[in-house]
Amino acid sequence: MRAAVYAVQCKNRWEVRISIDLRVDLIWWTSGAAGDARKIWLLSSGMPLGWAVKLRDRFQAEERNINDWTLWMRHGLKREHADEIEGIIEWLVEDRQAGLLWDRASGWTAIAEEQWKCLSGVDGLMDSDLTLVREQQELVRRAILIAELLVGRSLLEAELQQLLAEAAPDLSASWRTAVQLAHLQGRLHLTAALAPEERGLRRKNPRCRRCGSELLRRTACASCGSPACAYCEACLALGRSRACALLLRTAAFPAVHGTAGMAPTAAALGRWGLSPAQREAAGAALGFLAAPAKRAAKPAQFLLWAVTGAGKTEMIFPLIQSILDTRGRVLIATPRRDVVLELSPRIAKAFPSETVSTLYGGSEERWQEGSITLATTHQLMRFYHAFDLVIIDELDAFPYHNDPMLAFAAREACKSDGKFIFLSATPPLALQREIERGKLAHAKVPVRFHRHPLPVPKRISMNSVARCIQKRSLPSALIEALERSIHRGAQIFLFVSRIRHIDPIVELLKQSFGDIPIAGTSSQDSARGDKVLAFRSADIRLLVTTTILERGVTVPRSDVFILDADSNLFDEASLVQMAGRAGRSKDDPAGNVIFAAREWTRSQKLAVKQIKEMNKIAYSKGYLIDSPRLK
Amino acid sequence: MKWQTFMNSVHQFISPPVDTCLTCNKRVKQLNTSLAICEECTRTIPWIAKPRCGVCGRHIGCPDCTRPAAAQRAIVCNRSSVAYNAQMREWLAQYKYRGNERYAELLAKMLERAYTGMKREFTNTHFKWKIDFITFVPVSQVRLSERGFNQAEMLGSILSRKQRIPLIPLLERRRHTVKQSFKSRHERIQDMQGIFQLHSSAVQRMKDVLNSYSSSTSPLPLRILLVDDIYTTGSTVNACAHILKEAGLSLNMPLEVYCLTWARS
Ligand SMILES: [Zn+2]
Ligand SMILES: [Zn+2]
Ligand SMILES: [Zn+2]
Ligand SMILES: [Zn+2]
Repeated sequence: MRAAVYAVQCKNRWEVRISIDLRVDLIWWTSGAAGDARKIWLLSSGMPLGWAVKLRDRFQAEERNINDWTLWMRHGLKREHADEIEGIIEWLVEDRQAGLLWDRASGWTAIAEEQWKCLSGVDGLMDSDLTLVREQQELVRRAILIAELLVGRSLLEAELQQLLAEAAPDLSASWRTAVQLAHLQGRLHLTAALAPEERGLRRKNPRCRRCGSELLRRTACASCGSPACAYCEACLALGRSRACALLLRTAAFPAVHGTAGMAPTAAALGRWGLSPAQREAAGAALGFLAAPAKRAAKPAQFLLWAVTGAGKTEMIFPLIQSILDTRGRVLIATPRRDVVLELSPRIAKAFPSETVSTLYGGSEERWQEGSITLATTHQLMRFYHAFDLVIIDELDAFPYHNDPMLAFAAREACKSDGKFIFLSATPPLALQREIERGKLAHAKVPVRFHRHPLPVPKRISMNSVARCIQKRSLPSALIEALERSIHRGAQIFLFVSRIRHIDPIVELLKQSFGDIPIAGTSSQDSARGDKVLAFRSADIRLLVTTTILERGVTVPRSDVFILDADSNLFDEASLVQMAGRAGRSKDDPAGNVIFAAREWTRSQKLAVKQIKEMNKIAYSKGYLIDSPRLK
Repeated sequence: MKWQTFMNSVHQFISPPVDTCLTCNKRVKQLNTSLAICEECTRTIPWIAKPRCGVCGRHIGCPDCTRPAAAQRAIVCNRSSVAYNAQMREWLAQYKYRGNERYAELLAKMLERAYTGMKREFTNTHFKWKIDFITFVPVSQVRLSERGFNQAEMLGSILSRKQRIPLIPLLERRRHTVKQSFKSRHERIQDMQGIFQLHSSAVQRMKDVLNSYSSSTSPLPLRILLVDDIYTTGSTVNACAHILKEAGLSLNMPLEVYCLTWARS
C-alpha cells in the first residue's frame, strides 16, 4: 500500500510521521489534543509504505533540522534498489501535493483542503469514515478496541481484516481510520513488513520483519506502484510479507515471573502427581521461572532434558500454573502438528478453567485469544512480544531444528524479559555444548515415568540392507533375534534408512515369517495413519519404516530393530529416538533394541553412551525401582 | 557465523549443483530444461494435446458449446494448456493467492505451448494465421492493489515478450463481483454484462495498430488474443470479447477474438 508522509513541528522540534488516513492526523494535531503543534508540512500524499517507514525511522535516528525536505527525502531514499531509484526521483520532483498543510498562525492551506477532498472516497476510505472522524467519541472507542485486539500481535493487513471479521465485524470497513488514531495515541506501532538494509557499523541486509529471512524477491507491484517492490519468499505460506505491506504491532507490557520471588514449594508441585525425578526437574525449572530476568539481548533459556517416555507433559503443568498464577500468558509451541493435536486435550483437562487456543495451519481457532496458547511454530509469526513463558516441545524435531526462521519467530513471540523453556529427549549438539560449558540452565530427567532403566541397544553385525536385497536373503543372526521378539509376543519396529528399501525388505521378511502380518510405511504412504493404528492394535506385528516414525508413536510391548544403523542418515539423536520406542509400558519396561550394521559408528557409540549415562544418573539418584534407596 | 557463511560457500563450490524444484520443493540434480521444474512434476502436467471440443478447447466432451445460446458467443474459440485438476489448482493458488510470483514464468511457458499449438492448428498452406496484438482480462482496482499484480496481465506480457507480439491493455473492470462459485450459470452470465468497459486509450491504441500496416497488406479482420488464467464457463472472456467487437464495429474495424487460457476446467 501507499502511505502519506508528513512532518509536524511541536514546540521547536520536527517529527516525521506516516499516515494511512491523513484526515485523522490533521484533526489530531490541530485539535490541541496532542499539545503544541505549530506547523504541518506534507512530504508526500502517498508513497510506497516501505519508503515512508524508512524516512520516518531515519528521521527519528537523526533528529536534526531540515531545510529542504525534498532533498532530505531524496537523500534518504537514494540507497533504494537501483530499479526503484528513477521512480523515486520523479515522484519527489513531481509531487505537487507536497507543501505546507497547516500553520497555527494562518490555519489551513489549499493543499490541505485538496487532500481532505481526495481522501474521502479513495483507496478504501469511505465517506462514512468522515462522519466517524467528526464523531470523535465513536472513533476513539474503535481505536481502543482495535489496539486491544492487537495486543501481543504482529499482523499483516490481510490478517487484521480476518481478525476483525471474526472479532469485531463493525470495525472492518473503517479500520484504517481507527488504526491511524490508535497509532497516534501510541497504542499501536505501524511499520513495513520488510526492514530495509542498514548501513554503517551494524550492517544488515534487507530482511523480513515477520520471519527474519533475507530471502527476498523483487517484482513490479500494483499495490504501491514500485517497479521493484520486494517480498519475502520464506514465509509466503502465512500470507505475503512485502516491502509496502503494513505490519501492525502493539507495544509490549513487561513480563510477569513465575510465582514471583518465592522459592518453589512442595505445594506448587504436589497436586500434579509427579515421580521423584519429574519433581526434581520441575522444581529446578520453577526456580528458573521465579528468578528475576536479567537485562539481556534475548530471553533467558532453560532446557528440560527428559529421556523418551519420561512424561514431560506432566512436568510442564506446574510451570504453566506458576505463570498463570501471576496472570501471565503461556505459549507451548512445537514443530509438529500431531503433537499439538495430542497435547491440546491434555492441557485443556489439566487447566479446566483456562481458555486454551490451539493454532496450526488450517485450524479453526485462528484468532481466539487464550491464557494458554498451543501452536505449531509457524503460527508464532503472528505474535509479537506476547508471552511471558514460551515452551518449545521437541525442540530438535523437523522443521524447527536448523530453521532460523522459526527460531526468530519464537524469539519475537516471547516478551523481551520473558522466559524460554526447551523440552527435548535429544537436544541438539549446540545446546549440549552450552550445558558442558555451564552456559545453559537445565535439568535432566534421566528416567522414565515407570522408573525402569532405558533399554541399552545391542549390536548385530550384518551386511548392508542393499546387499541383503541383492542377495535376496537376511542374515541368520537377524532372523534369530526377530524370532525371539516374535516369540515373546512383542510388536516390532524395524527401521531402515531409505524409503526404497522398505518394500524389498518387507518381501524378504515375509519369506522368513510368513505366519505374522508384516507391513511397511513411509512418509509417501497415504495409508500411514491406518497402518500405525493397525500396528498399535497388533493387527500388524512387524512394521518396516523410516525415521518418519522415530517420534510420537508409542506402542506397548515393542522391540526396535534398526538396520543400516551405520548409515549417515541416522545421527545420534535419531538413534536415541528410535531406541526410545522400546520398553515404553509399565507392563513391559524392558524391550529390546538392536543396532544392526556392518560398522560400529561414532553415532551408534554416542547413542549407547547417552542411554547408559542416563541410566547411571537414574541409578545413582535412586530414581530406579530397583536402585538402592537413598536416605 | 562468519565462518559458517564461508564454509557454506565452499560447500556449494565443491558439491555438485543441486536445484530445488519450484512446485514440489524437492532437491534434484537436474530440472526439466524447458519448464525448469523437476522431471517428476513435469510428467504430472495434464496437457490438453488435442481438445475434444473445437470451440472451447475442452479435453472432454462438452454440452455447453452445442446449446443454441452458444451461437451468441463473441470469441472465435478458446484453447487451454492444461486440464484444471487438483494439482493445477494448487499451482494456480500458489501463484494467485499465495503470491509466489516465481510461478509466473512457469505458467507463461505452459501457456506459450498452447499458443504454438493454436498457431499450428489454424495455419494451413493457404492461410497464415497471425495475432495482431494480445490483451488480457482485467481485475478490479481493489483486487489489483490487494494482490499486487494481475495474473492474466503477467501471463500475457511474458507471452508478448517471448512471441514478440504487442500487448495492449484494452479493458477495465468496473466493480467488484461476488465470488463466482456461489452463483448459478444464468446469474453469472447476467452479471457479466456491464462489468467490463473499454480502457480510455483503447480506441486510439487499436487505431495505431491498424495504421502501422501499409495499405498494400490488408490486415482485416484484426486478430486479438485475449489471455486469462482459467476458462470455466467462458462467460468472462465472452463478455470481454463482446466489448472489443462492439468497439471494432464502431470503428469499422472487424475483429476476431481468440481466447488463450492456461487451464480449462
Ligand atoms: Zn509494493
Ligand atoms: Zn518472511
Ligand atoms: Zn518437482
Ligand atoms: Zn465446448
